[in-house]
Amino acid sequence: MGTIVVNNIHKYFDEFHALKGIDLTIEDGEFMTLLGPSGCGKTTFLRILAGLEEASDGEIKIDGREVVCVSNQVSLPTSDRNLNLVFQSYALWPHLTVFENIAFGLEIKKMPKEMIKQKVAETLERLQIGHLSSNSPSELSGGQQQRVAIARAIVTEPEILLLDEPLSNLDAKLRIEMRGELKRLHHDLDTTIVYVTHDQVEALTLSTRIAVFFEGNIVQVDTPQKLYNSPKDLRVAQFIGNPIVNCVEATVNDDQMEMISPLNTYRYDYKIGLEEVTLATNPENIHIVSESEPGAIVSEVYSVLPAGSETYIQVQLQETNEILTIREIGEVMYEIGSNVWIKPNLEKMHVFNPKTNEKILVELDLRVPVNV
Amino acid sequence: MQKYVTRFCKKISNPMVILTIAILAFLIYTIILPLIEILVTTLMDVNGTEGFSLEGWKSIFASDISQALLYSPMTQTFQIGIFVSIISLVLGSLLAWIVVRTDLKYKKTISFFLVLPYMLPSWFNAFVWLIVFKNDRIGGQTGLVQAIFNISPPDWLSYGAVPIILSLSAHYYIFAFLLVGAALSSINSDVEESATILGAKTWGILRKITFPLVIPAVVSAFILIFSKSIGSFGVPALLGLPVRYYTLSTMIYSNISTGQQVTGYILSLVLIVSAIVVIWMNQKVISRRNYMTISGKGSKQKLISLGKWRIPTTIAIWLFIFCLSILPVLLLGIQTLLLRDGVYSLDNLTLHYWIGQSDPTIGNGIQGVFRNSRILSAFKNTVVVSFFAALIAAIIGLVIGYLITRNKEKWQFRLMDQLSYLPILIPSIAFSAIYLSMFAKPGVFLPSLYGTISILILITVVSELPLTTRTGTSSMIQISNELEEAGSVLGASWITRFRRIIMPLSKKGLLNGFILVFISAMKELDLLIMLVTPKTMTLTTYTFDLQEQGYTQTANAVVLIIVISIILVYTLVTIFGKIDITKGVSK
Repeated sequence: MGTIVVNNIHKYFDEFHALKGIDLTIEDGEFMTLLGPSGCGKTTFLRILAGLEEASDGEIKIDGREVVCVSNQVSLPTSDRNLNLVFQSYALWPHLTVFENIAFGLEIKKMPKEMIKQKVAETLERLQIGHLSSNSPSELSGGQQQRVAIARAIVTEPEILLLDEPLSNLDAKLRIEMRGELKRLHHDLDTTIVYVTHDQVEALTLSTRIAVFFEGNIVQVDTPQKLYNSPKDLRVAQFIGNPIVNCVEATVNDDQMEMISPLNTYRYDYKIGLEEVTLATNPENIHIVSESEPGAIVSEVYSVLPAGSETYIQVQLQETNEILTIREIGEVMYEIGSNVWIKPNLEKMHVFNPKTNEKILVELDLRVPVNV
Repeated sequence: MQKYVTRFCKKISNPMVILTIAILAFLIYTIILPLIEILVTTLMDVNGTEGFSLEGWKSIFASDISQALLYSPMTQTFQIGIFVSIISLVLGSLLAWIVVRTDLKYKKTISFFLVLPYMLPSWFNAFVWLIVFKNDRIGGQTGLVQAIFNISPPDWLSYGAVPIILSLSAHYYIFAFLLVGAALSSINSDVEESATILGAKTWGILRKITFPLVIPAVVSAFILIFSKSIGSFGVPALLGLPVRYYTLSTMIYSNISTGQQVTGYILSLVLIVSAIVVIWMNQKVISRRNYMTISGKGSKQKLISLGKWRIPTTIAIWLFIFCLSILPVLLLGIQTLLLRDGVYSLDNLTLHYWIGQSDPTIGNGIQGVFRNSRILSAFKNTVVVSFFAALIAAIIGLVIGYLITRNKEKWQFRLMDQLSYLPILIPSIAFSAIYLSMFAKPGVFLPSLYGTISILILITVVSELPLTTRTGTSSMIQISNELEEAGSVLGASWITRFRRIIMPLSKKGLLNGFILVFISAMKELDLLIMLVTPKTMTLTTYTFDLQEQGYTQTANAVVLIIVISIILVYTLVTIFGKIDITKGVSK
């Protein structure tokens, strides 16, 4: 079991309102990622969950048990919450060997020596670091230290495993390798994992669900697919977009049911009630087409960025000089400075209110007027 | 109501809270209370008057004896302070520049020897000075100069301002050497190289870039040396008192030892205020000029080639080291072997002062140091005081460092930080005067401590707190809070975390603080001189006694024992402990 119910958690650091009422339910066995830019409150929230930081208001229940309740002055010590935490810096004790580091928690629980030995050995094997048992942490590489930190956290068999940006100190290749192992570990252990990161790719690849934090609020909680394909907030779209989301401003004319954007002029079906909107779409939803196609507009190739299996083409719009990024599969070549015709996939075009960042949810059914 | 009670109980059971209260209480009791006590003593029931009166202050600041009691010693004190600071700065900075920035050979060894005098008592130089330059003015045997050249050195060379200034400079130049040296080595060559690229010449770079960058270090060395030298007691006592040349510190001592407590206390307060003003000025100057020259990259430095100057420079430095570190020890050693003081011939050599039985015809029948039970007991006292003071001060320093680094924002801990720094503002002689007044009678919680070893340990601990708190804090800063949190996540209690995580990780800082205090306590004179009794005599205070009573050889023999013990500890620690003592010196 490892269900977490978070209700209206607030946190103030003196004047600074770091968390502004967090509500979140994490189901047993979930891999929940807290995603957001640095300073958005995600690590603070994790530390409150872990009991390393006191909440200023709100409640947290784990498996129905009240863990934090500020109004009743309840705040269980970390060790009574049946969870464990992997720190961003790993926080391995440099004066202890790998074995001693991992055995520490079991010793605190007064487990018999023989059993400690066996458990530590098992965990070391599971993470493929059995041969490092008697080394000291300073002799290990970053990836090995990471494994020791995870081993230390899972050896006590917590219901909930918290990870605070665990991969941020690793190099790119190792990060991808560890991602796979973390996902496998989650599958094998069957524990609830709460994972903090600012890396959207990490969040998309690992999680069952993602909670996106902005400025102390959770903006959207959804599965990775939904988050990517239908972000409810412009900031979410911009943060999740890989490598970048294309945004253009459009002027709205509700009288004629027409909006004018640098891309094109579009017709729609319902009144919007705003003067301006932001159109956003991912790079794979804009296509480079042949001249003849209706609805396509001309633009100039600004730069071509091949990335092995795919190619990113940046194009500059003629009217506004805005730069859009387009993704094409495979290796494609365009001459810089040459003109190409581009056409967005209107079905995957999201419309946001630029003032509130909220998505305009009504089905607008954007389309290119026939006479253009 | 219930809520507050449970909250209160919860707080009380937290070891951190208990510890915080205990430490704050300790600091207030040992630092603030004595200061208040001494102030009260100077204002209440003075000179036969009853209740509050300013009589004591009036008699010192505005009466017939003010000139002799206050103004003349004060002028002389400041004179000494200024000259010592200037000489030390020039000497220390020059040496630092040569050692850090040029391609001189054997730098490690040279640094070791250049710092060595700091490990010795500051008044060690005064002893050696007397061996060489003593004249016949105050009687007793004369020094080496008279014996060899058969001319009596003039008074100004034997006693008074000149020898005091030179002796103190020979000790305090090390502050300048260490501080300026550290600043110089933290300057990345890049900033100098970029000037080279722009076409600047070596001298121009030195003047326009290097010098301005080390100015903060120079200023802070100046202030440190100045405040140290105006507070120093041993040297002006040995070289000034015999000819009635007084500084504030020797005036305090003379007054208190002749029963003029109030006068002594008021002078102590004057000295404390002077030191505070000086250090406050330091803070003002330093905080405005703080250059970030230290980057994580470890600064790479291009050394300046000495070229044809290498040989003369090397010779000069080694000569300097020989005169300041090696020759004094040798002279002191030889002097203890002279049967009759001042007669330098082979048939006058003897081991009498080391191993001789009592002989009424020699030195009033004093025994050789190895037979003298009082010296043995003084040695024992010194070791006991140094060991326990070092242990306690290091642990308290570590705990304070822990509490401060873990709770930076809260006012209690800022107060703790500042209280623990306060003793540095109180000159040793004034500090011991305060403790004399406070612990001569049974106190609030304690019995009368005067005449016990405990008071010697206590005052050493408190006076070393600024140092150990700094070493404690710097070692705690390196232990990230997460290492402790990782323990508490696993259910380790605070005690367990402190014992199994914090303590092992700060072992090195603890040892560092311990050694620093141990050495410093072994050579401590100023702090203890007024608090010892014949039973609690330490080596240093006994030496002072012997010298005052004219047992020169025996006194020198004891100094030699102190010096050799310290050099031994210093060498062992440098070689085996891999501890760089010089880092903590600039407290």
